[in-house]
Amino acid sequence: MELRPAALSRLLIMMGIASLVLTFGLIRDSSAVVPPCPVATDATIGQMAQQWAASFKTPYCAYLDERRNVLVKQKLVAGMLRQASVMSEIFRASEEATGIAKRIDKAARRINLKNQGVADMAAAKLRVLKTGAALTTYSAGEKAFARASRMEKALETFSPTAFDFSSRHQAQKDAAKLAYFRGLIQAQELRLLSLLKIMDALEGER
Amino acid sequence: MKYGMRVFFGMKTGKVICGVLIFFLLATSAYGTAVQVVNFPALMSMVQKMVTQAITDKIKAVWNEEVKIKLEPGTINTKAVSFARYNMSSYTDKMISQYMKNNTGAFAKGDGKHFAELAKSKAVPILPSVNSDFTEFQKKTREVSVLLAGAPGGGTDRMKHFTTAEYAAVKLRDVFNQASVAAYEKAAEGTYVAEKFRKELSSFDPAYIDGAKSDQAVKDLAKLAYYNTILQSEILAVMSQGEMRRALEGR
Repeated sequence: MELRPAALSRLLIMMGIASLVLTFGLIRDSSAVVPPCPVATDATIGQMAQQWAASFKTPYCAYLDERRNVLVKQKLVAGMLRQASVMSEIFRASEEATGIAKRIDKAARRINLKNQGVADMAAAKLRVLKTGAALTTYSAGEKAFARASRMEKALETFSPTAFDFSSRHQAQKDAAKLAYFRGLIQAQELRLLSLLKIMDALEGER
Repeated sequence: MKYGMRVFFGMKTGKVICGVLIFFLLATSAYGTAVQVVNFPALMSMVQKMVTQAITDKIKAVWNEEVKIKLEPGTINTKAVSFARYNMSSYTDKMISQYMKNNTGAFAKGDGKHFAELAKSKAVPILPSVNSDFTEFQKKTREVSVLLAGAPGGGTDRMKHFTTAEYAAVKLRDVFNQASVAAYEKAAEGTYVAEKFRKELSSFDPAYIDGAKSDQAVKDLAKLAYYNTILQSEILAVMSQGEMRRALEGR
C-alpha cells in the first residue's frame, strides 16, 4: 500500500511530535530536579542516598546530643546542702591534747616510788594512767560536745524538705555528704567510747 | 527542498531510517522510566542502610560516653584511707593466750620479770599517742597491758585449802584480768582508728562532691557507707569487750 505524500507527511509530523514529547520527558527526568529517583547512574543514587541519610540522621543525632547534654548538666548540679565546707571545718582540729600529756607527767612525778614493792609501783603507775585517761576522756568529751553543738546548729539551718524539691542527682550528692558527716560523728563516738572503756579497764581491784 | 524530503521519506530507506530513529527515541524514553522503577528500591535500601548505620554509630557514641561517665571514680581517694587496716585483735589474742597463761594470774608460775621491770622502770606511764606510728602505738599499749595483767600468782600449790567458791573466785579474777586487757587493747585500738578516720576523712572537703557528677557521688556514698559500717563494727567491738569486762567485775 502506497501512502499519499500528504498523509505520509502528517504521519511523520505526528511521530516527530510524539518523539519530542517522549524525549522531553526523558530529559526532564534526567535533570535531577524531580525527586525521588531521577538518574540512572549508581554514583548519583549513592549521592542522593547520602543526602537522604543526612537529612534523617542530623535531627536524630542533634536530639540525642541535646538529651545527653541535659543529663550531664543534671548530674553536675550541686546538692542542696550548701554548708558542707563549713560543717567539715568543725572536725578538722586534732583530737590529741598536748596539755594533758604534761599534766599526766606532772601527776606521775608526784608519786613517791622510793622503797616501794613491785605491786605498789605497778598500782601507782596504773593510778597515774587512770588519772591520765580521765583527763583525756574529759577533754575529748568537751571537744565532742562542742563539735556536736556546732554540728547541730549547722544542721538546723537546713531543712530536709528541700530534698523534695531537688532532683535525684542532687539528693545523691547530699546523701554522700551526710554519710561523710555521719562517719566523722561516729569517729567521735568511737573515740569517746574507747576512752571510757580504757578508764573502765584501768580501774577496779585486781 | 520540500520535494527532496518527500522523495526521501517516500523511499524505503528513508522510511526505515525514520522508523529506527523513532524506535530509538521511544526505547530511550521507556528505558529511562524503567530505570526509575528498577532503582527506587535500591535507593531506599541504600538510604535505610546509611541511616541505620549513622543512628547506630550515634547511639554507640552516646552510650560509650554514658558508660565512661558511669566508670569515673568517686572523689574520695580510697588509697589515702588507711584506718580500716588497723586491727590489734591477733596481737591481743597472743597476749592473752601466751603471756597471760604463763606469766600472770593465780595459776602462772612465771618469774614475773617483765612485769617487775615495767613496774619499776622510771619511765612515766602514758596512754599511747594516736599520732604515733601504729607499731609504736601497739608497743606503748602493750606496756600498759602488762601492768594491767599483773604479776604471776605462783600456781595451785598455795590453793590447796581453798574452798570451791574461793577457787572459782580466783579463776574469775584471772578471767577478769584477761577481759580487762582485752577491753583495754580494743579500746586503745578504737581511739587510734577514730583519730585516723577523722584525720584522713577531714582532709577531704565534701564540697567536692557538688562539683562532681552524681554517678561519682553515688560511689562516694557507697564508700562512706562502707567506712561507717567499719566504724560501727569497731564501736560494737569496743562496747562489747568493755561490757564483757564489766560483767565479770566484782565477782
